[in-house]
Amino acid sequence: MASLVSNGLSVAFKNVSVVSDVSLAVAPGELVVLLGANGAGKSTLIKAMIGIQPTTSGLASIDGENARTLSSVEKAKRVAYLPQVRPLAWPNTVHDVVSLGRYCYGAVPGRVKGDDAKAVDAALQGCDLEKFAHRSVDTLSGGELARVHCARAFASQAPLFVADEPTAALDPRHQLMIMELIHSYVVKGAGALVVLHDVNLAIRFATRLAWMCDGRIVADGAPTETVTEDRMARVYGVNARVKGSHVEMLGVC
Amino acid sequence: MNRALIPLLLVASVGALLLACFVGSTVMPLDRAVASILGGGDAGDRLVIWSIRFPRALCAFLVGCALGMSGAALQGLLRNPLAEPGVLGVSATASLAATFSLYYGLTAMSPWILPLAAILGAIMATVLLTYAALKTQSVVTLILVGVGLSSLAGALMSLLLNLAPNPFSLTDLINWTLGSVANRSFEDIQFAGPLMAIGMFTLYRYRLGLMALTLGEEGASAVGVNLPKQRMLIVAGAGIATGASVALAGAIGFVGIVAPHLIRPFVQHDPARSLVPSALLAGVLLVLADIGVRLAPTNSELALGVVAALLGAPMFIYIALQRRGFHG
Repeated sequence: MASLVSNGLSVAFKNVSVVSDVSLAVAPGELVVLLGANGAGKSTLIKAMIGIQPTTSGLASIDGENARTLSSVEKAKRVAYLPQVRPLAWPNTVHDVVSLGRYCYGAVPGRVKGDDAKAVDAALQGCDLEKFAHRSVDTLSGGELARVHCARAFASQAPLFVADEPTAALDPRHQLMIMELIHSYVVKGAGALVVLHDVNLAIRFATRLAWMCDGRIVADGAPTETVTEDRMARVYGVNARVKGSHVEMLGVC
Repeated sequence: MNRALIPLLLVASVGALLLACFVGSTVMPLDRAVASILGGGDAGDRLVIWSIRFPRALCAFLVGCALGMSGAALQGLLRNPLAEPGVLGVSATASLAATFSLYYGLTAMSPWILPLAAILGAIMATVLLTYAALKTQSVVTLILVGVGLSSLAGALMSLLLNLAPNPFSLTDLINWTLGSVANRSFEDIQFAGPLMAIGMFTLYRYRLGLMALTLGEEGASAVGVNLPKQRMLIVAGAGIATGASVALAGAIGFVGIVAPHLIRPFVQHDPARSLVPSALLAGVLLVLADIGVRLAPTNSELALGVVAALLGAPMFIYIALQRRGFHG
């Protein structure tokens, strides 16, 4: 099974270090949530890990192969990636957008056949989008669109799933729905690396939390072990009270 | 996709080309026209149809196809319904190169110089745009480079017009920059046609990546699009097809915006599925516009590009006003 591994990964923009010496691994069946303040380097790290961000040192590998040298098609077959910014330029149908998840297998939107059609139907069904399949994406709500993007990613049936803030700007119900969708994808055997800002949501769904601060991973472990009041202060700069598996924000440090 | 769309447009294309053979400054009765098309009938009629009307109509059709498909492809690449060979400065640069060869009398050396210059200009613009496309990750930057290129070509064109030594070359220049298919022959098509075909084939071959680009550049590369290659090939295909069309008919604007706009609702707004229907519709539109040019009771014949702009420019403004940013 596929795994996503970084070894001593560093990224710098114009000599300013953004990611420093990060070693992180995501194995099948794991849902790793990457936490950290804005500007901690989370997005840059996940882009570097899937090989779309040039690195200054270290190695990122997907399934044992160098992420930078894998072709875009090969990469798409192994990693389903949801970027932070998810524009939709044209008012296409939901079915066509989800079909793009099969682009790496040569599926043609509008004429999706065989395994591709099965994968697209399964993704639409999994994300409860069957009744929207022929609706235009510009008629959907934010929550519905988030499900469309997830279905697009799931349709590839890639063994790895990487998402940058998949629950941003969603209501609580949709945040839970999206995380449950990702969780069930992981239960089926995939490995997932997800950036979140909601610590409680992360604790609830993650098998592991990776805490990032100033470009470094400062803690990596089970949610209950790594969530501490001290860490909340150091990573986010907030006073928090940790009660069991719940974090209550008290104020800015 | 609406399955009847392409067959319907093919029928319309044949219909428009036939209509162009029948009508003109002298109307040819249907029976005589049909006889001439089939190779019989009066020798004079055959000459009118096979040497004047049909090559001219075919030119208008091919130029429309090349511009329609280039427009649709560039709109997909740039995710902007207002993108067009004109916007990226390809038409302007091609016209400039052609005008330059006219102004310096290079065209007197060989009838091939002028079309060659137009294609060379388009390819130069294409190479520059390809370089910009590879260098930058941003579509906005690419559009700005195109706008800059367009303005530069326009300014140099004005300079050439100001320096024109005699009224004759001025009229010539105006005809060239406004675009026309009058007096075109099969010989002209033999040269530009294969280049158009190469450009359009390239666009068609790499059309699927255009649909994926609806997800944005990061999203498109996430689903497996090789972005630098995709950008380069679409820019190159559109450049070659446009250069060849400028060589044949000068710079004809707006048809590359109007046709894809009309087609999009019938193909679920999929840029990939819009290529072929947009090409056919643009071809039909230019053939019909050219029939209009020939029938218009004006003292000197209107340039086809003028009619295209008269119909297309208001539509351009309408599309621009309708446009709203949609981001999911």
